Amino acid sequence: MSDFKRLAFFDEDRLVGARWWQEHLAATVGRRDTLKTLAYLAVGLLGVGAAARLVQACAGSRSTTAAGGLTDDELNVTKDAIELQRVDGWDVGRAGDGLTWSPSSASGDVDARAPSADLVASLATDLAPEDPRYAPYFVPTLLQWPATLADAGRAEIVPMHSDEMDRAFAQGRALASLFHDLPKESAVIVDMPGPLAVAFAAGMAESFEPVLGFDNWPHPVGVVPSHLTLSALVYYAPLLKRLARARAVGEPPAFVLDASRLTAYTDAASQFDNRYLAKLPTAENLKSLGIKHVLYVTDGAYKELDDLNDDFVALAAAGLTPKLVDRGDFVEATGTDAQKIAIGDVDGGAPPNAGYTYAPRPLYYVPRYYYGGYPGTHFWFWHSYGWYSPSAYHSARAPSFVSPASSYAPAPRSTVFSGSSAGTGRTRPAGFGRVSVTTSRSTGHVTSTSYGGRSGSLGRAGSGGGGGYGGGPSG
Amino acid sequence: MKCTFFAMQAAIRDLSVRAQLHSLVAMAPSEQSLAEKRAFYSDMSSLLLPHIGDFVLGYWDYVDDPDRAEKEFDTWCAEIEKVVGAEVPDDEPAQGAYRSARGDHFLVSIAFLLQKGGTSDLTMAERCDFPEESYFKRSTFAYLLATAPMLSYATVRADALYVVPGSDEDALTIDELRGEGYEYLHPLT
Repeated sequence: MSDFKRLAFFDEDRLVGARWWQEHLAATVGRRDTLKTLAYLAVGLLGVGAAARLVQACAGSRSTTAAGGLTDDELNVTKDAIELQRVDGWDVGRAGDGLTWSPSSASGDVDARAPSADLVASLATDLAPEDPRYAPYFVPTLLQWPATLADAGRAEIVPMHSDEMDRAFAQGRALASLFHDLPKESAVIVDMPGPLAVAFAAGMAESFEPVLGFDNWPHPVGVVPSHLTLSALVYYAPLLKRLARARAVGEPPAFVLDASRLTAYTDAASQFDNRYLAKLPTAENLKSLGIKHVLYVTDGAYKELDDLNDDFVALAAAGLTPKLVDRGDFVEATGTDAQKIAIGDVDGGAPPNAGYTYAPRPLYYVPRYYYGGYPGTHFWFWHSYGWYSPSAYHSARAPSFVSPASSYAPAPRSTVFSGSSAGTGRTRPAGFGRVSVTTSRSTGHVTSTSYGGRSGSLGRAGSGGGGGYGGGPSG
Repeated sequence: MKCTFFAMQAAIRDLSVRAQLHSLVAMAPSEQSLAEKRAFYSDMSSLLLPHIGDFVLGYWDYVDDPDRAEKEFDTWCAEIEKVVGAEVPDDEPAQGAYRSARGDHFLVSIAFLLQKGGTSDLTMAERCDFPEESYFKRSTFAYLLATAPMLSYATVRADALYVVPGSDEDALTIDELRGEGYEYLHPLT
């Protein structure tokens, strides 16, 4: 579908350039006022197709305006964000606004291929756990979103790739290497900003099965930028699929969470609250999977996020005391240690001649990362974490610096998610992940929202930049 | 529909990238989808950012007054486009008005008309919020260039990209860029 039409084009000695115009932009609906205006217009002029719902939504609302600006047919309600989006559209209240993408958007995925719309639409099935034991803990909500879009909408979802994601990927590989040849009884919880969590999990995916837990949809003014998490998944999807096929049966799980899920929500007038709580297996569930140890991986945090406190205390009480590691403790090797890099060769402890490739790149460059920064300090990890003592443990030396993460132990603390009494589990605070909207009593559909217009959050008022344009090059 | 306006213009002392910009504009389809539009500006940003050290003069503006925005967009575009129709003075070389044996600069300009209050406008407003002493730093121009691929083009009403001069044989001298008609350009630090 063409959105922009070129109105002017120059390919001359003096000037190369073009000017485009997007005509149908004026038809987008999203503001409280325009929504109602369009609905009334629809009654008189359209009456069919896309306008039908608007007509229905406001058909009974023209007669009387009640107190608070509501009509007789309108009702203020608060709904779960995801339920509202599933019924009234992912961009409800800001229809047509689109999403703000990352400057790290990439033209291709990990295989340097442009992802097809079909691939993007099938993420929820393609990235589901291979091991059926993990299926109950897979949260596909975010991955289901692209399938609800038209092809043009899916084409907007592009891969995301950044240097920091590469770093997280290599750190994930380094962490996974510590578990090679050890009993498959340790679960990892990766809890970082979405794109980094995806990259880290992809780095681990040779020997840990990623179990994704992204439980929301993006929104044009959503506080959780989950579309970037999706972009990272699109980037790594071919690799994740390839490793899933190559991975041995019975590998342990890596539960993957977006730490942005609890991003501060401050302004109902300009933000859409698409926050959510993490969903993890209980201690009983983990034990039934044969899990005896839980490792929580963060991006610089030294305690679990608030919504996991009750869960982690419960795991500790059940004998599955989670330990915590900061991904920053895995440091890129330098000097001669950094030169022995080759996929399939020894890589941060990875088994030699690993039976996979990162085709079509014959040598996918992954820098070596080690716990503490050196091969000799790598297995000191087990001195700090204590679960195992593999052979390399005995020759390891202490790193000169690692974070205090290894001293973490879960302790009950009061959070907005704390259960009202011991054993009741966490609770969702009133209003969390919920959105206040005005709906039609007769149809149930949204007629207006609080966040449909600007809230005065502009960073600058009036003209910015250099204080007024003085004309073009010849002006 | 109410709009806001953003535009940026920079004089670049490195002609090597101009041919690639020329190709980018010339190869762009006359009709673009939202994804193609974002890819277009991703390519532009990728081409220019490695050359940010060669940005010598520049100007940018963000106008959130809807009564001025569309007029500003039209003015920017018209002022740049009118060089095509301008008469070549008799004493100019035949190759074009900007022909100069010593010239080694060219101008690149981008302009956007954004739906006021839309996500692109919010993004642009936030990313234009610099302290005044940073307005004309190269790092500011790099930051603004990197913003173009971030925009949601569903909320972009109009856009334009220009390269002056267009010919690979022509270039502007620094004296020309510091002279009449370009007084608004600021040295970049």
